[in-house]
Amino acid sequence: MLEIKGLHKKLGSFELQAVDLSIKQGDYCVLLGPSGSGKSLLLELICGFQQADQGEIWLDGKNISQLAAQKRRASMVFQKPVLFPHLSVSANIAFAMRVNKISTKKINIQVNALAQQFQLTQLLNRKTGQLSGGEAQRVMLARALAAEPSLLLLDEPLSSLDVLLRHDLRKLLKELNQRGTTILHVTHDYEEALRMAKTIGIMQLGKLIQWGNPHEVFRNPASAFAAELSGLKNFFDAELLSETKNGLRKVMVKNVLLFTQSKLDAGFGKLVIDEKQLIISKSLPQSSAQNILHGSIKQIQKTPYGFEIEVACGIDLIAYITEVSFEKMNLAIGSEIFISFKIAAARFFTT
Amino acid sequence: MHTKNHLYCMVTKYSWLRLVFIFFSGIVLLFVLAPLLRLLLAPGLSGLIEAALDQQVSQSIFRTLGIAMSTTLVAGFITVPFAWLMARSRFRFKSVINAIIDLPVMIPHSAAGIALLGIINRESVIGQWASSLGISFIDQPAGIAIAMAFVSLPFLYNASRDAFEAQSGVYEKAALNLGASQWQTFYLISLPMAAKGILSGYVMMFGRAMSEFGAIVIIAYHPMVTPVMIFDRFNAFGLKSAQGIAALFVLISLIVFISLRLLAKRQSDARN
Repeated sequence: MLEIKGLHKKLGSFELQAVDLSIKQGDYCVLLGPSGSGKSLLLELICGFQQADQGEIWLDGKNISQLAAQKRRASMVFQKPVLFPHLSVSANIAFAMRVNKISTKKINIQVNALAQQFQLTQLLNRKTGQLSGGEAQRVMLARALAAEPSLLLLDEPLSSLDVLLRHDLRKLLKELNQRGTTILHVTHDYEEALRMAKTIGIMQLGKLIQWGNPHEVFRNPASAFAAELSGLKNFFDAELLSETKNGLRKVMVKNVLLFTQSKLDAGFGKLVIDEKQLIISKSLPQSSAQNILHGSIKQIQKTPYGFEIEVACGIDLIAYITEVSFEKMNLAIGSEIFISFKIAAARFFTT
Repeated sequence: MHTKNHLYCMVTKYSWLRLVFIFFSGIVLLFVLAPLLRLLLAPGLSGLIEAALDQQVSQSIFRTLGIAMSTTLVAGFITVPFAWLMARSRFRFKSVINAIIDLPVMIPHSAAGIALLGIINRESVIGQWASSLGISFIDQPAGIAIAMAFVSLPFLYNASRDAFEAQSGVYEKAALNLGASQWQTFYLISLPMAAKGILSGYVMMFGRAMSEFGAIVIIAYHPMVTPVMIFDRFNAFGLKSAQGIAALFVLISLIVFISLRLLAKRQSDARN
């Protein structure tokens, strides 16, 4: 539904270079990159706030590259809520319909429906200055959807919110996506990308260096930069159980039982295990680590600081080891080893 | 914030600095108020009534307010979009253009009148073109309006430009993104969001226009606007005779000014 071909834009000393990507109807794409990588500029190009120097943008089978911003049907939710301060909440939501000359009766019906969906019914007559951060972002979303866009663009929509509100808004975004809204979401937060994305893209210095499903992208980063940005390679679909053992929570990853600390309710989510905190030993370690797995080395890769090894131990874990230790332990593909880590190295979060 | 201010006052309440500054403030206030109070009190109530009943005076006051009002509205209609354009544009000679707009405030108003006269007199291109359309500027309301606009326009321009500049362009982007045309974006978003600043610019422009003397006296001594009439009465009949009409005009100016300010404030309060 969104097709970007060879998009190029020079802006001062910054250059967005030959971006190609394609997003399917109903997808949830997250573009991950540090600030200054060009991801917000890409959104601006899609919206028509900026004109590309080269390349084409197709939305719903239509070339919109030269189309005026107001005709593009790609609604943007900005990083900070950009609500019109002189209009009430309901007038903000109604704005897109009002400028499209839709009848007042229809507008009222639609505003009420959106208010209900986003739990804004009580706030409709408020001034926007009286809203909390979370409320304001919900109004932003309702207002964006009132325009009935083909594509919803989100520019770091969660970064101005506190942790609890982020959780609520993430849920809301997921629901929207499940109901069929196609979303392109930009962030610099690896965890956010992991929680939300069906498809993920990594941007660096104006280039889209990787594009695919999160597992492909994070497991096989296309560059050292992508690896660093994606932060953690060991992440798994997991189920947090309600059972505890010695105060620790049990979490199942495939058929492997691990322990973590969590106050969350039992349920499905992701478990991230920090590869820098994995300890490799040839014999059963006698340490305080609560998680000990046994397995064999599947792959070995040289890195600037030593070796990255992939261990099959019911789950595939990536661990790092220095050259000295590697040689001392005499490791090779197929070596049987133990891999251990403290509960603090394993973090569970809901998706 | 409140506590901080409170603390600040506590610290400086009895300091020498504060006492000296209060003394200076008193001098400034007195300097402005004393002549005006003296002016308002000098003719007494009877003097004010006498001035108000003088048909020439009342006609001139209505003429002054009427022309100033129409000038402000008409000039404002084209000045506000110009201010928006300048607030949203980035180009090399922007500050030069801003300085040019400020010129009328800087130069002597009699010089402004002479300058205007140079291009609208009957022999000039514009004067001839206007007279072919049946419009004349010299000693005509149209000439008065031009003089008023020339000297008062910078106030509206600067206030509007400041208001637009203070408003982030992202609101306009948001409106366009929601499908509003550029025109709709301007009058539904940019204009109302800058309304407070623009309204206060209008009040300033109107106030400046109705009190203009120097430029008007050169272009149109007649029909007399009130500032010219005050000067005329003073010249012909002396201080006493001028005081009544001056006091009446100042009083009316004050009433108009305060009501417009209140109106502008109420409008912006209603929005916030």
